[in-house]
Amino acid sequence: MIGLGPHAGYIIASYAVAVVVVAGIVVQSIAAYRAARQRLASIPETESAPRD
Amino acid sequence: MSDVLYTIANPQRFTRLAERFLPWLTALTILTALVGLYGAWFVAPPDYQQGETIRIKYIHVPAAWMSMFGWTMMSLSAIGTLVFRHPLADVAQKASAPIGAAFCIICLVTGSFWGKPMWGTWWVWDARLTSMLVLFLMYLGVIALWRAIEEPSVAAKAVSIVTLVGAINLPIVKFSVDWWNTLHQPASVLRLDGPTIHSSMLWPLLVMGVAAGLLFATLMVLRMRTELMERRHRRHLVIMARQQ
Repeated sequence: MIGLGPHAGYIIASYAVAVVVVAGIVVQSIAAYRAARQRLASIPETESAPRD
Repeated sequence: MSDVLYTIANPQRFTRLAERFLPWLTALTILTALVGLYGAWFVAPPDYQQGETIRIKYIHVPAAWMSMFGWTMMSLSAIGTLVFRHPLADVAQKASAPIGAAFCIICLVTGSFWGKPMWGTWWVWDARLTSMLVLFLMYLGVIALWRAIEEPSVAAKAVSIVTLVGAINLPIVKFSVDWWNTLHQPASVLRLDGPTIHSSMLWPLLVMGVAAGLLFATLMVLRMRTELMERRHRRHLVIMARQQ
């Protein structure tokens, strides 16, 4: 890769959009997981015990 | 295969397996993406016609593959929900939809960014682009349906039916470039007679495809685990409400 040529703006914008969308879904997934874990931790141990 | 499916059918067992495999899946996703990006930016040559704009294809094409893979996963899960009543099928279905929608929007937007300098337009209503837009709207539809119906088992049945009806769009997306005269070029990788692009461009594209697949799998496992915890919490609230 030397230069991005006359359409550099389109190429950079494409990667920027991909990064933003992927980062968004990753952050949202982790935040939802942490929130669910926190809510579950508020349940007394005997009630939240796994049922195999 | 069916033994494996039934072994992880137990939500608690799935959660334990997810805890063990998630860090490895995450590491493998990052490593594969780095190799793929290196290949896409520093190894693959510019295209003789498209020039450097070809770099957009290394995210656009894997995103398109994952958009279709997501709905395929949801369709298989819908069969698992309606026919086999697999306890994790609707959980997998709910987890896949936002990930598929994310890949779909990446595909649509990067396609536009490629289309403007190459075709001279951001958008055309040809069969490939339109069917992909329909796929994105269907993703939004099932996400909305999951949120609209409170009871997960009722929502799962409604979403499963919509998903299976919507699956008819998958062959339309895939074969639209063969069935109709479209501005979008025909397939150059997933073809019966083999890929038509040079190996120096093909391997970074395939590695990026694997990275996208691993990202999908990682997020899906994480979201499934979250959904299982949400359902356990919901069960607790229902028991508490009944006791009062």
